[in-house]
Amino acid sequence: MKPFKQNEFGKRVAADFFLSGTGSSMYIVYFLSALIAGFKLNSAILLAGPVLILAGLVILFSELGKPSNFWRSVANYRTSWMARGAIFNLFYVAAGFGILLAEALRSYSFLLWIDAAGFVIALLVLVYPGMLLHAVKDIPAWNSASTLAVTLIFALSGGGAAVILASAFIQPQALPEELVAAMVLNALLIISGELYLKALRSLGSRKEGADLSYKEMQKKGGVRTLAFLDVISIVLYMIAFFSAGALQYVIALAGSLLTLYTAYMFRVRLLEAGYHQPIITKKFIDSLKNKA
Amino acid sequence: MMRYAMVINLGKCVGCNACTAACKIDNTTGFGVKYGRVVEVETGKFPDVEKLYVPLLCMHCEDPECLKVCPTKATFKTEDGVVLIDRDKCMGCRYCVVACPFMARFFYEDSKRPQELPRMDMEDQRLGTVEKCDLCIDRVKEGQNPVCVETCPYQARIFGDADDPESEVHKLIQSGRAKTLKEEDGFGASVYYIWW
Amino acid sequence: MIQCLAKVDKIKTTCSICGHNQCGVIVEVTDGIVTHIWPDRSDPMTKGSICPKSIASVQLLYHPDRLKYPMVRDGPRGSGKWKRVTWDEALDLISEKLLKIKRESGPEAIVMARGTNRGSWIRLFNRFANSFGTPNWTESGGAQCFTPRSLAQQLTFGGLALEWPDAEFSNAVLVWGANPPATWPPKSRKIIEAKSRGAKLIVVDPVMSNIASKADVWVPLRPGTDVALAMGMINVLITEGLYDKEYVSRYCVGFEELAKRVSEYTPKKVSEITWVPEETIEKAARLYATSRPSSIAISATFDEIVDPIQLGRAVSILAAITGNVDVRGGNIFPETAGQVSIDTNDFIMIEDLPEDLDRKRLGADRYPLLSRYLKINFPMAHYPTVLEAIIRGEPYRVRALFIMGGNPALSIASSERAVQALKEVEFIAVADLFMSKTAELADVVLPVATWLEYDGLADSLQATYGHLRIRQKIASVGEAKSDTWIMIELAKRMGLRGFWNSEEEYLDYILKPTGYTFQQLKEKGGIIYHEPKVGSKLEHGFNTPSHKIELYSERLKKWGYDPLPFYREPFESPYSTPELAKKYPFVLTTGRRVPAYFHTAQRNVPALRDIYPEPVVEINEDTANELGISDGDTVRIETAHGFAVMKAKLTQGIHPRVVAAQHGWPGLANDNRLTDNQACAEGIGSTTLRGLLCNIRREG
Repeated sequence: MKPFKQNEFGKRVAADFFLSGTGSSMYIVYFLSALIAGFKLNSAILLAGPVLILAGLVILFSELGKPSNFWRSVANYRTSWMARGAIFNLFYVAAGFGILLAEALRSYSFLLWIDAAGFVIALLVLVYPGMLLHAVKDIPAWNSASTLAVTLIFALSGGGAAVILASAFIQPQALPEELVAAMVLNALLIISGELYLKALRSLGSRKEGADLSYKEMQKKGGVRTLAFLDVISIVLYMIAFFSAGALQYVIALAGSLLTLYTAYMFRVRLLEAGYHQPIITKKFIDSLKNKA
Repeated sequence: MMRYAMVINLGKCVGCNACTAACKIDNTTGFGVKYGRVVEVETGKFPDVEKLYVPLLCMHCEDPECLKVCPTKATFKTEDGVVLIDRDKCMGCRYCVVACPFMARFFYEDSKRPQELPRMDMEDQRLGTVEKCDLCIDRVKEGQNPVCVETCPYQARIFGDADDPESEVHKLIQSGRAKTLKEEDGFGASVYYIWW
Repeated sequence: MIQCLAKVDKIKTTCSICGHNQCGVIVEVTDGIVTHIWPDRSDPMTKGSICPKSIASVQLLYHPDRLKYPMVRDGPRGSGKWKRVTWDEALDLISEKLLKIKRESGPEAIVMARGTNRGSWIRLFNRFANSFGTPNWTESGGAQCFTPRSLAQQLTFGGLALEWPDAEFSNAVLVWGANPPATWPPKSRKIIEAKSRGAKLIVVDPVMSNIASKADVWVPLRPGTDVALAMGMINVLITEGLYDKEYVSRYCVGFEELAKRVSEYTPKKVSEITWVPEETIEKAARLYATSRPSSIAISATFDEIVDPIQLGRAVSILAAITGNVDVRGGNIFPETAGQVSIDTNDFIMIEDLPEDLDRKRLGADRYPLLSRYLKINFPMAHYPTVLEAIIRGEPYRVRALFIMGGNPALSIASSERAVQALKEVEFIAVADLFMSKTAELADVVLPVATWLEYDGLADSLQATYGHLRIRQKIASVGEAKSDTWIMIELAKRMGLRGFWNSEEEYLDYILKPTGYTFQQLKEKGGIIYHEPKVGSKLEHGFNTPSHKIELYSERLKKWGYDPLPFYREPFESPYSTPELAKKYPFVLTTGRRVPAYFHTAQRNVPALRDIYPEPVVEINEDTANELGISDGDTVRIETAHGFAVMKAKLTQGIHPRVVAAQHGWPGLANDNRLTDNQACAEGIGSTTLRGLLCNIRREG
């Protein structure tokens, strides 16, 4: 019997993962780059994160069979990563409201606290999709540590791209630093993607499900294609870095949109490649017939 | 302590699917939903071919993956080992359907149905939630066998309390001849298979 | 027996969803609604066997598309416009029309056709046709189902021993061209039980079917070459002295002639013909012969090849020379439990038909073994000839078709020709459960009852192993009536002799010699136990002219046919038509069954459709890879006669050059789009459904 793949998590779950991953990592990337480069945090950009998460939650809601029971997952956070994810997402949206409140009250110290809290929550949100997939013990392509790493890095690169998108319109003076950050993240992404495929291939020799996942992920339109698109993004970012004015914006935007596309598509491919171990194996049949 | 278990004889199973039909009729499941089903497994190369028919159903695992991932506590395990879903708590996220190592869980969708087939009454009640084999718990509580066990024309399925030393399932499990699927992964299936 | 347990009733009855097996079942009724169907493990014959079709009869019974009242066409034929009428109106109309046509053009202008048997009205239908006076009754199965092998067995044994394998007591079972798990659950149960106590299993089938997967020896022969295989096996047994010399000398005639004929069928030659390795042929033969007692289980394959009479004869001979006929654990003879046997010339009133009408029967000139009365057969019209008689008016015009439980638009060879005939014939009346493809083209449609809706007897030949069981009316849907009731009512209106006033009267008539009426038998528990008298033929003689088993058939010789079996190539094959084989390089077998469907029925039963949702054609995995076909692809099968579209199933359990298509699906997936109804078997007129040439490719 062949490995079978899961059919329940599709494009909408991928979109939810993408939005929550981008929203949360955007916060982290922007926060860190502001800290390192020293420019002031712009609340409008900070708000973009929770807005994306909210959009993700709406999509998640539309995916649920019985959304009226959604509150039960929030009430039972000890159960699973799906529940924890719901809670972290909600907290993150709350942080968004906190930013708005702080802005309205013009309380700078409150804003600072909210920013810090938001950073911590963003980390949790960033991590949960990978953990959710990792918890599926019977899908070897998801159950490996490299899955955690690669989902994290794809999320971060998406965040870097999203920040560029936001900066281009709202805080253009930060654009050069953001471009550097984005280039670094994309480079990390290409490396981690390749490492992930390598890990998958070696796992595939031991676990048949991983073998099919590997074949699915490295075929046309798979991880390698996405990595190639990210190389183009880096090139675009580099050209933008050395350009100026309107041209810089346009090229930077092109690069970021491309990266965002690959970040989403990676989730889609990962979910599509969710192959379980075969239920019935030759080993099982032989042991049954005592031929082992 | 009671621990329900089933032993299926793969020598006797000829893949007639009487059990699949009986389960669908008794549970009035929709198209594409088969709490219990039979798969064909083939090995070898013509003409040295071996073929088996393997009935599959929810394994009512001792350490269920579905339970671990359920965010609303809709999936739970009774004291005698039956894994059940509380339809009133399920939010239909299908994380459990994704996690199940045995493809035993179903989220019903309208689009799969051929045009000429009528809709079953129970389907509307289950819309939006996940469903699966419940080991015919209502029958079992009254001392009867699950429908699939009762129906099999070849009496290839045996059901009972694995903790009762007098029961046939207990003896077969103790003999070492009975194997579970994905044994190495430690899910602890309560459904065993034997050969003749 | 009705037991009341709270609000649930459990009623014992016999299923007739397929008509052949008559499995004992317990029907659960909750508040007047049939809710579940269980196997009855206490049934003396079937002992708990059951199939998905029986179980899903719950959905069949209450299916929204069931015909609920009689209807008359209210627009052009096939337009889908119907007018509801009463039973009286419908039956009066049919009766008047048929009598009118009989007066004007003679009774032979009316063809009465049924599908395959759905219970015990199989022979009542013959009686009805003969009483009415038409020689032209036929059935979709007919020359391609039961009839040829029945004649072959009558000629050899004087009885139908191959229909009753006594597998419970066998040390080996040879299953030939049959898949009991899908089509004969009671026989299947006996075989599996035998296996679990150590009996050996040999299966002859081009495809690794459900039963073949349990075989100790699987013989995957080239479709259509069965006779060669049988002769090869007999050759091995005679050469190696493994046949029962004493049995042969005491109970058989014609052994020397047989030995001489069989000597040319060496394992080497047979291996070349059948594509089966010599060792396998020898192994199968030896295992069957040396495991005595051994039984043989057969089915419709025997009738669907180029030469069904020869195959029926050859395998009967195989059973005979190994001493496995009329012995415990071998093949035994059908018996009744004392009731009136419906399988007799007497019951079907064949001798009431004058000889000139017998000669006028469609097919009588070319296929006398099918269509002439030979005293040991139930002669029927040749369906392809019937179609031509409708369309071309040759040898005379057929003006009316009365079809009960048959779907010739789908189920017979060259189905497009059948549809044309249905469109052109002057008058059609159809009795069916649903508006089938055939019913759509009718002038009058009668709603028929399922097996849950009428009282009856499970007395069809293959279904008893001696014991007689009843069927009980449990439910009622619309105005549906049983086929028996329809025939009785028509017989009343037409003034036919030899019929009864009611169904109950008919059942009492059948039961009379047992001393019970139907009601009395029902109250007693619904079963008359009867163990067959195994060995009575050995003791008192076989029902043949020589009173022995006729390995060499004088009667065949007298009629102008070969008295001994011989192999001939299918009409189209890599060897008989090598030019055609260039265009169509694969050998095709059609008619494959699955456990959830009976012929063309049940595709609309939800539970069953979920188990087997699509029409499937099986192809060798390596062949498919070469052709770029993956598992589940839509493929196009082409023969010289047409094409069909099905889903591909890749398997190693089939020869790389063989393709196996399922039977009974509608539309483009109909396997009878691939078959030919013009090339028919010598003497008996069977269309070839197994052993054709085809090509196959991915579609779209």
